[in-house]
Amino acid sequence: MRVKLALEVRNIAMRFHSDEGEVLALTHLSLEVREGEFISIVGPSGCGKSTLLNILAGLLHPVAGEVYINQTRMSGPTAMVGYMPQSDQLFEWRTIWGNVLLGLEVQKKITAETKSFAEELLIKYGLIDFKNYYPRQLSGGMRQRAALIRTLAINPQILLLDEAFSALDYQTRLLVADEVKQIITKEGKTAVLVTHDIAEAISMASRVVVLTKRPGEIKSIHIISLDTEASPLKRREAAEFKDYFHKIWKELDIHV
Amino acid sequence: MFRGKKKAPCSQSRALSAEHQNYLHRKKMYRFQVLSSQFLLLLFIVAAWEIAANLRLIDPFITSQPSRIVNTLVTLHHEGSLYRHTSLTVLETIIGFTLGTALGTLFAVILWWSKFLSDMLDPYLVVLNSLPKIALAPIIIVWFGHGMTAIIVIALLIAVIVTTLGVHVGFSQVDQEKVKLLRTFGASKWQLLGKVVLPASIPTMIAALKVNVGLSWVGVIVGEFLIAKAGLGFLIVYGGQVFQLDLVMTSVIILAVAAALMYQGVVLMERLLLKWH
Repeated sequence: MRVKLALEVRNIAMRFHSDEGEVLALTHLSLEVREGEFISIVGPSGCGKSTLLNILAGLLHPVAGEVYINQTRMSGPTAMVGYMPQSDQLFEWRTIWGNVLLGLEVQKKITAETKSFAEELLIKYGLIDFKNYYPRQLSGGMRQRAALIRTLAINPQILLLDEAFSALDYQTRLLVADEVKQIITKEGKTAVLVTHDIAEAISMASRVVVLTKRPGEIKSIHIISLDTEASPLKRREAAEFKDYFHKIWKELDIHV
Repeated sequence: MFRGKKKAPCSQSRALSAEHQNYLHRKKMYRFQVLSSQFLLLLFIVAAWEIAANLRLIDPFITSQPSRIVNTLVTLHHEGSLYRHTSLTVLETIIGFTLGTALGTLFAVILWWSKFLSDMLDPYLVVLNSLPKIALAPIIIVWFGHGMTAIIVIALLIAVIVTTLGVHVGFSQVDQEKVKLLRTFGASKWQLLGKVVLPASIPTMIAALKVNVGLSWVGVIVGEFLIAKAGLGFLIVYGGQVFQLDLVMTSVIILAVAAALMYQGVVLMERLLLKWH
């Protein structure tokens, strides 16, 4: 049986131009992500992680190669892909409800149906009582949840998480990662997490993709065979966890 | 920030501790001291002015004095001209800063929309910004005639360039991550403008509006000086020419009160618009 691919990256390359010259940011990069899979991408800073994510979000067009979302070639931002920015980026001037509806509003998809879907998400994830609150009135963890619901409201198949928890303090970060993972699994979404935090990458994903230094290409892919049912926090306690950590740490080859 | 509706810290019990009561009391006392000192200072100035003038320590003919100002106010009130002049000046000022802010914001949007225009016009805007716009007042009067229109144009001219530059900078300081988020939803440029750039810049626009209120007063008063037909600026310049310092001082005081009230109005509007803060 052929597994359905949610995301397929075929041999892409990306170049940037500036006065100083041109820079090859990504090269010969191919990647397949199955439906419902959670993968993490790590790499040394400046390796083109964010560039890759911007390409997957449809904000940048690779100079070579193609990206397929659900077997459809990507040509720009699409409702099938939902993006989770660094820090929640909730709009302070909108209520939680206003924020949750933002994507639908932009895509002109506000209907009774989509609204009740968004409302259900709020109910399911315990934010319905805060519907009319402004973001500043919510805790960091709740804001992150609201941001996730904003992304889920457009019902994307793939979620892109761009260092999504990096703005939170360490404890909150662990808890939010747990919560987000749980929600993503429950909603049956495919997810791509870009992070510089190796432990976070291992704890959340079933595969960790390591990129090389610039120009970024895939150095290795690590299959993480930790209990898939367990929460990221639990997975961190597993004995094999530190083995994965060391292996990936070595591969990243970080020097200061 | 906190409006007292927030939950009290957990250490606080129902009954206020003596220490906390003491703290609140001291805080209240301090506020009272500030307020009463402010009032006393005003009282002192008015009294000193009045007494000094009565004792002929200063010449009320050139310094006027509080009782004469009150008399002038009463006379102007009976003539009805007090309200005519004041309302005219206030109206011109409001139109001036409203139009100045609105036009400045519109120009900022145009510059935001087109990077090319923004780069191309940059040196012109810098020159226009450094030019004292008041110098253009005679030209404006020639172009727009000897009346209210010219006064409003002068006021608006002073405000518009600085607003354009300020709001444009505000636009470019909008969190790019927010813009990016919207772009991943597939937002058009109009949507970026309407859903992030403008709402995120409301604080900048209000700050510009506050500055413009002050600038607009300057423009209107100078305009009234030059055109000298009506308004508080006219009363001041006329009073000066006929050596009626009572009229000058009265007009200045009315002007100060009107300007302070208008500023408070803007602050109030700010609070309503920025209720998410």
